[in-house]
Amino acid sequence: MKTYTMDISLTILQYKEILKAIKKHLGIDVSEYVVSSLRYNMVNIMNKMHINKHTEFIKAIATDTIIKEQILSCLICESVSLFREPSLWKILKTTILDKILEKGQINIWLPELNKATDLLSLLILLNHYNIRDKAIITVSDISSINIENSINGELTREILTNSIINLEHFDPNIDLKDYTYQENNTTYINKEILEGVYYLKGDFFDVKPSYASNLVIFRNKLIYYNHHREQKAINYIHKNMVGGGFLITGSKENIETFDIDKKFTIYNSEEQIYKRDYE
Amino acid sequence: MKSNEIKYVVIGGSAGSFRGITKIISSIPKDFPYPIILCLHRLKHVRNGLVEALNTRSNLPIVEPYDKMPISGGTIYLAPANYHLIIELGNQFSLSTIENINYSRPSIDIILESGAKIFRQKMVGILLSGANKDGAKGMYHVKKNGGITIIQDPETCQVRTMPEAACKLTKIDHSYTIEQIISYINELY
Repeated sequence: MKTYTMDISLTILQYKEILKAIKKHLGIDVSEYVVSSLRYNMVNIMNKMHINKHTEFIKAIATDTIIKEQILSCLICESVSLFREPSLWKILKTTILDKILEKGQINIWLPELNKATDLLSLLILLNHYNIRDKAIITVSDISSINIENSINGELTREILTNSIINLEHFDPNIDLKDYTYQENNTTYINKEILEGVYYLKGDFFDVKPSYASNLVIFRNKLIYYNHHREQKAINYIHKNMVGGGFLITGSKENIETFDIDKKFTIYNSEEQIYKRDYE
Repeated sequence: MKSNEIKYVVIGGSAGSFRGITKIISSIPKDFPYPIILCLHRLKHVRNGLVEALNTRSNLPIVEPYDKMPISGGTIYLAPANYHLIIELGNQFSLSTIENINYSRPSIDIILESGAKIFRQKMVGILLSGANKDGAKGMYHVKKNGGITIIQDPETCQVRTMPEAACKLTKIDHSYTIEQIISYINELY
C-alpha cells in the first residue's frame, strides 16, 4: 500500500533553489510546471535516493549523472491504469474513430507519453476492433526512461489490478490475456502490438509527428503545467492538427478557460473532447 | 488559534460518512460566506451521481472543480472521482493523477496537507467516519500550520478507524458529534 510519505518537506524557497540547480546543472527549465505536483515528485526522488535535505539533493543534481533522467521521467505523474475513464474509450470507439475513418486514415499523436497507459489502451482497442492497420501512431516524450519502459511493455501488477474494473466498464469482451504474455513472473504487452509506433524523444515543443494529426490524445497532462505552458501547449497542438481533428483532454481539464477562439470548439463536454476548427 | 480566523472549511470522509455529510451540507445556510471543500472516498469509475445527489440537499451550490479553478466563498467543492484535489498557491485548485494514497484517489491527506500549507491558521480540517487511515497525516499538517482540527466523535461514527488514526498522530482540538460540527460551522460567520 502506498501511504502518504511526504515526510521530507520542502519549503517554497527550498523548492525554488532545487529548480535553479536543475536549470544550472541539467539545462532544463521546469519552472512552467505546477508547484505542488512537481514538488511532490522531487520529494519522491529524494525519498528514493535516501536524501533528506534539499542541499544534499542540490549536490546530487550537480554531480549525479543519472539524476537528470530520473527528473525528466517524472515531470508528469500519470495514473497507472489502462482504460482510465471507460466512458471516454467507449465514445472514442463508437463515435470518434468512426468519424475519422469515414474520411480516411487515423493519424494519431500522443504527446507526453509518460507511463504509456493511454498508448497501450489505444493499441489494445485498435487491435481488438481490427482497425490497427488504419492508424498511424506517434508518441513523444522528453524522457528516455519513459520511452524505454513503453517499448519494454511491462505491465506492473498495479496497472493490471487497476485496469480490471475499467475494462469491465469499457468492453467486458476484451481479455487482457489476449494481448499480454508472462515472462519471469512479469506481464508484458505483446510485442507485435507495439510494432509500428513511432517514438520521438524531446521536449514537448521541440518534437511533432511527420504528419498533421486528426486525433491527439493528451489526457491529464495539462494539469501538471502552469497557465502559461498550458496555453503554449494548446497553441502547439492546434498548429500540428488538421481542421476537424479531435483533441481529447482529461475530463477535468477545461481548455475553454484559455484562448481557444478559432482554434478548438467543444465537441463533448462530459469527456472534454474538442474539435479543431478549420481556420 | 481562534475560530473567528477560520475562512476555509475542509472536510474529509470515507465509509459511513455519507449520512453525516448530507446532514452537514443541508444545514449550512445559503449566505454562508466561505468555501467548503469536501474530499470523500468514492468509486473511481463512477463520475456522475454524487454531486447531483448532494446538490439536491444543499443550500449552497456544489461543484466538482476543474483543474486550476479559482476558490470562491459560498460554494461547496467536491473532489472529483479518480483525481487528487490540491490547494494551490494563488487561491486555486489543481488536480493530480499521482498514485493512490492510502488506497484512495482523491486522498484526504493530500487535500488537508496542501490546504494547511496555503490557508494555515485560516483553515479548519474536519475528519468524519472512515475505514482507513487517510486524513491522519493531513490533520497533523493542519495542526502544525496553525489550523483547527475536528474529528467526528468516534463513538458516533459508523466506522471509527479514520478519526481514531488522526487522534493517534495529532492532538486533535475537538471531537464533535455531527450536530456539534454543524453548530461549529454555522458559528464561523
